[in-house]
Amino acid sequence: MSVQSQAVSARLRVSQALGRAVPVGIALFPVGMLFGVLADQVNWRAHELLVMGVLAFTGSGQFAFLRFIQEDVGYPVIFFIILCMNLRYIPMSLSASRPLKLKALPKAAMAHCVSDESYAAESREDDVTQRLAVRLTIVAAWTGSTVVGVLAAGLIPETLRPYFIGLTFPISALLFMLSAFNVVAFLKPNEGWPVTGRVAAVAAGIAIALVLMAVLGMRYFWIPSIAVSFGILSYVWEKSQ
Amino acid sequence: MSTVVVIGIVMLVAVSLIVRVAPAFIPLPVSNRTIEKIDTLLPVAVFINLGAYCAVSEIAARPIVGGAGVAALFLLFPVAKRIGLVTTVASATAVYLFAAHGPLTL
Repeated sequence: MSVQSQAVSARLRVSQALGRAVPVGIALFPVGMLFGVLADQVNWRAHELLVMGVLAFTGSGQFAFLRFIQEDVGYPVIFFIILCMNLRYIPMSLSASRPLKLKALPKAAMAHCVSDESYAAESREDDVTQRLAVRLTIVAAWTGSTVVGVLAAGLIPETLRPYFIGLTFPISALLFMLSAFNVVAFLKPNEGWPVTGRVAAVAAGIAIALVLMAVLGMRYFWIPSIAVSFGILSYVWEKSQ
Repeated sequence: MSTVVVIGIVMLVAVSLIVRVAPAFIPLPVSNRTIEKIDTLLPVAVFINLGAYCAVSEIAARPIVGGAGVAALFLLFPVAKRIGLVTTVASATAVYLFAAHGPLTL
């Protein structure tokens, strides 16, 4: 393949990845703006959100930190809760980083940018450039929207504030759809093992997730639930081999 | 920059190092078969939980409004690929806002 056609092919791959990441970034915008508006209420400034977004990129962690410092919760407790909330990134980082053949620093930077949204928008077949495009789009959308939120906070009339309550729904909806697409793709009869077994394993995984959410709570169910789902899927996979 | 924000940044960076950066460097002393399972099945396990979490957290926060939005997602799912992801999410969000605020205040 000539250098020119390689460049065209690389551009195509990146634009394909951006086609998946940009809608996710758009859906993130209202959530990020909401964070900016809330941060303005405790006098955080745009440059502080910019640095926080880039260096400490984790939307759920930022929301939790903001909420807990307003409730005067001690820093060690805040750290522990945010750590528990973010434990779900361990299996994501494990599987999303394994295919990347990179030196330590770029690999660390790429891993730091893994998010629910990037994980859902990336494809197993994506190369490093495509994954980078997806992750940077999400980081830029999140950080940009928080900064816009804090800058626009003063301009939003009090009467419109109640409408911000529902602004987390679009990103939940988007993550739900992307997760459902990925699970349904796994259920299609092309993986070399019976569909009925896979459907049963997924159904059991969903049921266990619901039970563990009720028993352990929404913050602490992640790791046990992912481990059990993975165990069930592995068991069915082994049986079918 | 305020002290609280600096502490927040340090805390969130530390969390990221533990949950995202460290796992990327964990060598997996396992067979090719196990690696194949991690590549194929672990993402499915994560997506099952992520999807369930998104639906349940919205319904738990606001049962009727969140339930309406999630129900719209389920109804739109069969045509989601045809109408596109953005249209699907926008339509479900419209249902959610309609349920939250009613037609007169939308």
